[in-house]
Amino acid sequence: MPFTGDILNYGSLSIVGVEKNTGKTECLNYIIRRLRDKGVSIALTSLGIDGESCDQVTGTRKPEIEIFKPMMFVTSESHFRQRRFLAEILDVSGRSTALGRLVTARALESGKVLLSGPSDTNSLKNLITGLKSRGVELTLVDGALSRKSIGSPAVTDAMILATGAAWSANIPTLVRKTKFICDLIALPSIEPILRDRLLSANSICSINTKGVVTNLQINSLFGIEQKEVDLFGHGFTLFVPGAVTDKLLNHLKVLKDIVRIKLIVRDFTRIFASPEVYAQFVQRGGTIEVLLQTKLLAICINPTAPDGTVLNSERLREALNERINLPIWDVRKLAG
Amino acid sequence: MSGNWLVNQPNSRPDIMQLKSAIEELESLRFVIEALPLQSAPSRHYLMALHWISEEKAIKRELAQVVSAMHFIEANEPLTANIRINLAQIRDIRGTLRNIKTGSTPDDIELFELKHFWLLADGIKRFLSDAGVELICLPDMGPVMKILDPEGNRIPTFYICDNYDDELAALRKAYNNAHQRGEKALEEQLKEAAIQREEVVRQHLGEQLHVQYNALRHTMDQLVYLDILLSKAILFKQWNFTCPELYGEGLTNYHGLFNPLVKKILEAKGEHFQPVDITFGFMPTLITGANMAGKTVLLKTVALSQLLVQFGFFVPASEAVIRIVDQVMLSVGDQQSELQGLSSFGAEMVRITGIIRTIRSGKKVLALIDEPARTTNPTEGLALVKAIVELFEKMKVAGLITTHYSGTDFTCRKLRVKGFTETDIPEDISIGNLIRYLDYNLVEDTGESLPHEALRIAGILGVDNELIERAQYYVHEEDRVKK
Repeated sequence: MPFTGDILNYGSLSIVGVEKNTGKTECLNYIIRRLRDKGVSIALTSLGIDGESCDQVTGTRKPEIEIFKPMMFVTSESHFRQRRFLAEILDVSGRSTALGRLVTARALESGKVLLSGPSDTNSLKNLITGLKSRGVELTLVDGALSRKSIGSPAVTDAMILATGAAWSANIPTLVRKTKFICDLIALPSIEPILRDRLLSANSICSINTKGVVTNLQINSLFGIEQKEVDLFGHGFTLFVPGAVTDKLLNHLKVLKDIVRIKLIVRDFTRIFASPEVYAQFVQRGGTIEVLLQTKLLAICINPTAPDGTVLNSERLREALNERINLPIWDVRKLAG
Repeated sequence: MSGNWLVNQPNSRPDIMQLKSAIEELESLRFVIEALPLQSAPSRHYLMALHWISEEKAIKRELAQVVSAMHFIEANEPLTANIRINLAQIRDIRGTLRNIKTGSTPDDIELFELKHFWLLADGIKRFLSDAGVELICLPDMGPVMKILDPEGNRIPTFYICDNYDDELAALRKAYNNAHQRGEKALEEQLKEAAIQREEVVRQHLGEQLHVQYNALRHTMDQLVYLDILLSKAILFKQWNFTCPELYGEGLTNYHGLFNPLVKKILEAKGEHFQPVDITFGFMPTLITGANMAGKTVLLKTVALSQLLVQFGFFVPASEAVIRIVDQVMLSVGDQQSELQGLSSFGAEMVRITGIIRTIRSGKKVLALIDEPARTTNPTEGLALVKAIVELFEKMKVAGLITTHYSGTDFTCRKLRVKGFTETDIPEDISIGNLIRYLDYNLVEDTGESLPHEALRIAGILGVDNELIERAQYYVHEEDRVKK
């Protein structure tokens, strides 16, 4: 069966939907079912509150996650109380989320649960580390790819991307957008020594060829094209903790030193630029690297959108395969 | 700074000040309290609810506990570390305890919290009994342990296990069988029955725990007390605080008194805090001295020490003998009064009225008044200061009053901050290094004339030369007229 063997090479995996209703949950349920008999200690959690049993935007029912004995799971107090299967509580977090504290538990029966979890990257990272120390070999994270989210699924070692008709009903557009996300996920990571130094940085920093980091004492690059700021006085590598926008890339791509300019971002979710502007920036010689990199293992497609659109599954798969060199599966076929 | 320390708080004894309102009044007190290396989540809440103590015996008891804790830590370093690791894992389960008290049925999360807590408490009790120390008193852990850990495996996890109830065990077994046979309808029916039976078990557990409420609550209180006690001992050792002696009606005497907040600020700038010695009785003492001579800091430090000791803490001094009072009242001008729509003079008069009213009500007050009447005209200002001093003398009030008004007119005891030493003041003196050339020690003031150091300091501060020269002219003029 597809991709389950590969997953076991990683300590953590996020399943990320590019949009609601792209089949993320079906994909996650599929993986859980495939892994239940593999003798691997598994934990499940979510990035943020994504577990409403009913999708609040479209009104479609959001499937719960199916869990089997003796998997561990982490969810909020209120979602924990809603479950109907027997579970042994292992820990209750000190910090509270919008839905209460996080409960870590072990399923003693199989059953269904709504997952919610830490909403910021660091807490998720700590949670995964904590689960590892409890003997968990693989943590599965129900991820979200939202610009509003302060958490990034890039903290997991590996990732599966769910895309589909809910994002675009036009196959070429859907392929182009999906390919762009894949390119961003594949951005190279910087060397580990520099990464450790930048992980805690919160402001824009310049890095020279010797690896010396200089804080530029500016909080935001917003409106940078109008400001008299020498961004590259210390070096041509620039760490940007916040969002990378079209405006910034447009500003940089016309500079004469563009081939020497390297941007470092926390992870691919921080790049808000459009595919076109990003492409121009890269074509002119600019480079972008990330602090946190994750390995994209496969793509799940859901050809059905909540508005009733149904794309041809085979044609979509083929079109994606032409541009993206990764296993691609139709989530409905997986479920069946 | 309000003159009234008696802020009403909704607590069991609304007439007595709590630490949480005291730290609002004095920044250096907040600084000390926030430096306590507390471990457990609920400790801060307990700490803030500490009451002001005015019974000497109770303070002595508390200070003796801190001394014991210091000895314990010195003799048992690894054990202390283990106890603090356990304390750090204690969650704030006050909400759960409230539910147990009211007799509501706990859910699995609450039962987990209680079991987790009880195992930690049991661990701490074992650590302490291994060392043969009785810093705190914990109940017999057995009865609650039996309720929460019927299997006796001491693992800090929780679920309603089969051991709790035979009927539940049977239902679960039947459910599992139906599940394996794939009998969906029967499975669902048995699941529902099991869930309902679990609730009956929880209800039963809630009743049993309700009976044990006092033991649970007492254990929580004791562990938090232990956390605060160990934190105090650690901090006082680190910061060189001393255990004061208490004298009901004697003199208050500080040797090497320092302000930990100002000390830290100075040390960050590479400067050094000069500790001072001061003795005062139950009569007012007038303190004079140049500007920037640390008079306000002195008053605040005396207030800090008195507050610390009467909340059961050590004090920032190398030696201290302290007279216990009913209330410390500090009047230091600041911008807050103006924000409340009062002039600085008006706000000050309100504070001083509060102090005198409290004294008249028969309370033993330590009154600390910084430069009273400094914002009004010198004639009436001097008259007001004299009146305050005389009134305090008449009513035998322990008080420190700082002033710039001439000392000759006062009959009470007078102290003066030495200020500039007579040695040469170097050319490069500036606002930044000024404190190196000031002597903050207090001397008995003979009272002939006040030192004219304001203009000298103004010069060091870089005030306009012409301005200073003109001012100097008038000072000489006045001296000449007097002669």
